[in-house]
Amino acid sequence: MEESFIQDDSELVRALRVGEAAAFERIVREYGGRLLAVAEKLLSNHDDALDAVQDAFLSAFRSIESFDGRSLLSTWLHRIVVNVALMKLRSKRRRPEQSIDDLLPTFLPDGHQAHPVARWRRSGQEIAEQNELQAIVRSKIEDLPDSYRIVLVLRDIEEFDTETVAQMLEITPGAVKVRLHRARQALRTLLDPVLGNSSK
Amino acid sequence: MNCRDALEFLADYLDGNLPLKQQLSMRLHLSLCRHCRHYLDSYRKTISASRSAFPDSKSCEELPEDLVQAILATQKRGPRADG
Repeated sequence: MEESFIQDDSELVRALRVGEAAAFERIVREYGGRLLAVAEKLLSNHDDALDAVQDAFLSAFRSIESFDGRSLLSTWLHRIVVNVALMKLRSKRRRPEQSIDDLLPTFLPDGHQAHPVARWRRSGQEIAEQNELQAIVRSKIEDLPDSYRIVLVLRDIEEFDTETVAQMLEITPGAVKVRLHRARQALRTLLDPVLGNSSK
Repeated sequence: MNCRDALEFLADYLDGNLPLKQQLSMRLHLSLCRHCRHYLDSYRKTISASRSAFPDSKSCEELPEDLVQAILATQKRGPRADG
């Protein structure tokens, strides 16, 4: 299955390199939706996401010669759209990225947790079924620093595997795992006041 | 294993990637530490909450047709004169 995708990719890449119009249309239609879904989650704005996808495709068309086939074409395209989205985010932000340390658990010198941990009474199903809670979760995800939010979006929401995300972000799989764990811990801290103290 | 170790290995524990010895130490710690049990439960719920916060994320949205046409038209015109 994987092999047939790669063969399919190489044929598509060959057609793109020789400028076949049908290949450009195919790549836009085949991958555009998924790229838009990722861009929307990273940018939290539909129009910005549309711009990012357009910029990403045009950048991909210009640099198709540099695609070396070591990753899937879709992974390469995601890498480009993530980079475009990151540039857009950085150009809008006035402050540098905040540290995530304050959102991570703290420990006593003997290794025990420094603060008691309350039980979350809301069930997973309750969270999944309430639009209001979903909106709160989305806003807390937006509050995460970009480098952590991107990993959380790609791994936990878009459900790409660790290796693929590592290729998209050009970091090691180990770094993906560490960032994902920190991102989940930070998000847990942000959600704790909302989901940790309800008796409903 | 203490709380610091338990929380550090949480993701690998949930993914079933811990070596057997560490897995058993983790289970023992969780059976003894209520705070880490609560933390594990909320960590799991955080993951599922992220997924359920975007209920349509797996449905492959299509690009608007005007955007498809705009991209293809720009590509046809060749590289932009960016300055």
